[in-house]
Amino acid sequence: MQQNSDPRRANKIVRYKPLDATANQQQAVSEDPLPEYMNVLGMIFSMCGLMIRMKWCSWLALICSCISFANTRTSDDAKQIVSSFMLSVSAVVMSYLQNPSPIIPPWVTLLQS
Amino acid sequence: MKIIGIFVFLAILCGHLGSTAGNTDDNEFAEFEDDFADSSVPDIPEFKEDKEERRAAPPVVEQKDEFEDEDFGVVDEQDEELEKTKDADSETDEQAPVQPLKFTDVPAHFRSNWASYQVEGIVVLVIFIYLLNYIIGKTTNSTIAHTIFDMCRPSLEEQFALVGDDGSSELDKLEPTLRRETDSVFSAWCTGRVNANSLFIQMKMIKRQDLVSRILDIFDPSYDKMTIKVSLEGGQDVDPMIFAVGEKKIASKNFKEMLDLNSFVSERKQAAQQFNLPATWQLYADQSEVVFSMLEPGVVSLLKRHEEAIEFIHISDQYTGPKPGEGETYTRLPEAQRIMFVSLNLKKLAEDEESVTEILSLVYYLIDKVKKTKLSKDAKVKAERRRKEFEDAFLKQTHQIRQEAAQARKEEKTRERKQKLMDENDPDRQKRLEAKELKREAKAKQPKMKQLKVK
Repeated sequence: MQQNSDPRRANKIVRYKPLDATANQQQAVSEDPLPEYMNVLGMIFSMCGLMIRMKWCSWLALICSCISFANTRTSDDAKQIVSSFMLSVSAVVMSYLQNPSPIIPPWVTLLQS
Repeated sequence: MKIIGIFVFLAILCGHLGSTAGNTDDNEFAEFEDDFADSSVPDIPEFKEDKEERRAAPPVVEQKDEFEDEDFGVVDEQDEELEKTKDADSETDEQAPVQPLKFTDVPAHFRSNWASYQVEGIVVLVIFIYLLNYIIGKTTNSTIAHTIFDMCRPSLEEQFALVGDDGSSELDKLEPTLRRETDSVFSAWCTGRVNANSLFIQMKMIKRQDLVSRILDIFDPSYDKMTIKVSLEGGQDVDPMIFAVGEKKIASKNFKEMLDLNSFVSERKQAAQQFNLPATWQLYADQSEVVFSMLEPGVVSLLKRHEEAIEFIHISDQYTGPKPGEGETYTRLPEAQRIMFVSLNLKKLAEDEESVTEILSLVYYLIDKVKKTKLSKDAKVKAERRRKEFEDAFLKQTHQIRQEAAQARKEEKTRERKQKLMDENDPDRQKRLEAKELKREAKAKQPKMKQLKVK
């Protein structure tokens, strides 16, 4: 199956062009929507952490932004990741600044009863 | 990205260090705690003496009360109460300096008891493990992808004028590179060959960098995959054909999902047996002639040899992507592409370089084969007729949808016109526009047959 003649044609070069941003984005999202979900979840958790002072929410937000960070596409905007990190970290910091008492782990109540 | 990770890690680390230092040096309450511990025990005997004093005190106060009552004769209840409270106050004033302080249960300062931060400790540990896994997984994925690309590169460079295009740098200065799309998806674009516009290699690895995906992977194992998408050269002299062969599961899944496979091809069980294809494979084609021209003995032997590595091969002149989802329909048929898809299992492929080059040469051979294949006149006519029929059926099916769309557009236009009329400030102009609108409405209401009658 080897060919003897050179099949290369420099005049037939079609340059790689990344699909236009929106279409590409849509396609990528439909292929793997995990980073988007995590971003939204992280946002919700940070908001809960900031507004209702639920500490475990702010920690979850931090984990969500980590997952979202690990799954980002190179075409994605880095700003989004940075802001999601900032938001979750600020949620953690704010909730501990206001009330530095630790989260009561669920196993404590189990052990006591 | 790395930098952000490092920052977060450093921030957590600094928090740890700062707090442990504070525990030993900056604990301003240490003195008070000691005092409290010393003073709490000897206080008890004093407290007993206080009680005795209190018992002795009341008679004196009562006497005073009686004396006052006699003085004024009538006593208001309010006064009595007031005086009682006064008495109580004076009692407490006397006792205050000696009574011990009662400490309420205030949670200890958060720096002094790290042991109670169990949940936080676990979360920080989880994040740390996640980041560690991210770094390890990322490097593993990129090493695997680059090893395979390096295996393919000599063969690709022999066949294509341009390998690993990034779409931006100048052709002379271009270094063949593997593009990183995510930390688990890598791709390379090759172009400049006879009979093919481009060849796009995409490697989809397991998401090793994401701990969550890895845990999910335990329950639903997946493996590294590689797809080669070749955009074939079109033209009048290329005969129409749709052909698909591959592992049963994947082939049947594609058969259900892809519009072209779904609408043109049928399964060729007999032919598959005749060519002695692996039992776990399925063969699809739009015409049996296509099968016979494509599956030459050489191709079949290569397919058999790499039975485990090759998952699916799909050659089509009518590729329009996956079928639209349920409830959705195309209003216009997307433009058909000539395409060849080869999907490979990297787990089996990555074992030796020879099989990689063999499979790639099979791909090149098929590219040329599609171009060269000439169907018989009957088969060609039949194929073209079927494509025409499909298009007609599609147009018929979508006729109503398109009509509805046209109606909606028309209504939108009318509404816009009316809005414009309402917004018009100049009364003269508004009147004129209104007259125009009325005329148009009258015309629309008039049945079209009536005009014929007039004639």
